Amino acid sequence: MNLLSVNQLSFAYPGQVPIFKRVSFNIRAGEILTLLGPNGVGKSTLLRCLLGLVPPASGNITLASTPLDRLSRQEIAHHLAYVPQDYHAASTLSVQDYLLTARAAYLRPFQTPGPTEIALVQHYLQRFRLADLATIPFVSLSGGQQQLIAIIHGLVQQPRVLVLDEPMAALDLGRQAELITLFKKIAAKGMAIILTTHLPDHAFMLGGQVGLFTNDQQVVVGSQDALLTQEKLTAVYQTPLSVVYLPKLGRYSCQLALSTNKSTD
Amino acid sequence: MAKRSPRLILLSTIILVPLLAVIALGCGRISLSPVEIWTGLTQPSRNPAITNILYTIRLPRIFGALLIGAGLAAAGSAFQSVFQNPLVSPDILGVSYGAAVGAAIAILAGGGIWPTQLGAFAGGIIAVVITLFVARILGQRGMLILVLSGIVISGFMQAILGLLKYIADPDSQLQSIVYWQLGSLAKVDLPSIAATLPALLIGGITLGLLRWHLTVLSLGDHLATSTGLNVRLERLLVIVAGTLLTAATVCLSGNIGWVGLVIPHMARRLVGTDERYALPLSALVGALFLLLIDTLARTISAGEIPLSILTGFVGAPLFIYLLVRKKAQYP
Repeated sequence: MNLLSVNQLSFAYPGQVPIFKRVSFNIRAGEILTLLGPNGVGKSTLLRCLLGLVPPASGNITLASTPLDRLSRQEIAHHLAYVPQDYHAASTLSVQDYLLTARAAYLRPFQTPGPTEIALVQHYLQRFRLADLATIPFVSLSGGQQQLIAIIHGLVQQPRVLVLDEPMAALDLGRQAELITLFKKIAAKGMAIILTTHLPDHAFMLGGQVGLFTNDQQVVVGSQDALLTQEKLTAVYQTPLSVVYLPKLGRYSCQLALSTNKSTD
Repeated sequence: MAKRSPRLILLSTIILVPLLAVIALGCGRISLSPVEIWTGLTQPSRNPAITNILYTIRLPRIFGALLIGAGLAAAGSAFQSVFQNPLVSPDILGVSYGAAVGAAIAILAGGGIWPTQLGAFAGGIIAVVITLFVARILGQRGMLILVLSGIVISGFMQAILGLLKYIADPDSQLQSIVYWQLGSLAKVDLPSIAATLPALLIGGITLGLLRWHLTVLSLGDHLATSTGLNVRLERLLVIVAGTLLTAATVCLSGNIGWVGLVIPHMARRLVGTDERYALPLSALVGALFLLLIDTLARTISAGEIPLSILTGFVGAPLFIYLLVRKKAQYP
């Protein structure tokens, strides 16, 4: 069964040319969809559309066989969690209080979080060996730690689909590897993941489907074999790229087609 | 920041309220000892003059100070959360001056306490809506834009108030309007407290019920929406409740500056930013602060000092201190 279906979705800011046109794809449990494309092409906007944060110009989104616009915010939050790129880094809430806010959709309107919610947050913090951070103000964490806590915020919400906007952008290589392993693990347990990234290699490492933002406001969604070719990626990024097989790792890699030779002009 | 138990801090602040109230009952042109207060309150026949002072002058005024301080600080705390902006308060957003204009118009029209309250509420809502609208057409979502448009609207509302003063009847109405501008608890009596209590209760209870959602709202629209909140509806509820509180305090005492801006910062320094604790603590600290200031206002000199003068003297340096401390902590 499809957790999320997107059908002929288009988006445009009022009075402007469309950002993307007639995007369609389906996400099933445990699937990973990596969205790739150059800066400013509308990756974040597509994610916001999926969450119902901005209304699409046309087309529709179906969440567990119900149209998105017929669901309450609370019902949507049971299905979809969002890790924005701007996760409000200046928040002076303690890490625990920050994470507790992820339980809002499961509490009655005027209920405040209690021992059950605190225990759940503690469980997730311990799973990531971050229990020491519980009382630290979010704002005083490093960029990498903040990103990790923002992702845990998404997990504490216990959604069926986790939507992440450039989760790897602020992270060093070690943390990127940790996250890719984590995403594969939670996908194996049945949560679907949609994320954006600037690095095609992330898609190669994550496996799963790819959504490629082309230059004619289309988004092509399909398998890696069909989409992550040298020609297609070069066209999308308008930069010479080289897709090579890494026999040691048993996967492909996409590199800038630049050598160390000095230019001859 | 080491986190002390927020509940313990709340509890100890609650205990301070009656303590300070008893001290305030004893202060004034005639100072009274706790024993005199007790006999004055319980045995009216022993000394009717003292009983009269306590029941008709000091007690209403103390209740008024507690309610107004709590209302302004709670409204300030709520506005700061809902706009994700530590620099706003009822007075900076224009709510206070809008309410004063609304109240003044009702007085000019010859209305009693109910039309005055309604006028204050309507004026406050209109002012905050214009402030938000101006900030939106300026197009930037920065903190200072909201502050700036609030200052502009406050200035405009003060100009209207000036005009109303100009056309008011100098024998009766002018005095009342001047009273709104300076802020004083001298006219607070039991009937006016009783008349504003429903608005204070509705506003206060609404904010109290939504206090944790205020914390969620402080993370910004997108995150709050995706965690399952109806951000528009809740923000509207908070703005209406905060304005209701502000308008009721304006009806009781006129404009009292600084409380709504400074006290929430003090409360957050004590219990952290989670509004579950920061909002009730703001209300309590606001109540204590205004009671202290008002007691000073009516004891340090024979003629009463208008409250906004004292809150300004205490509030402005305190605010600078809090900002500097905050900057040192999270540069």
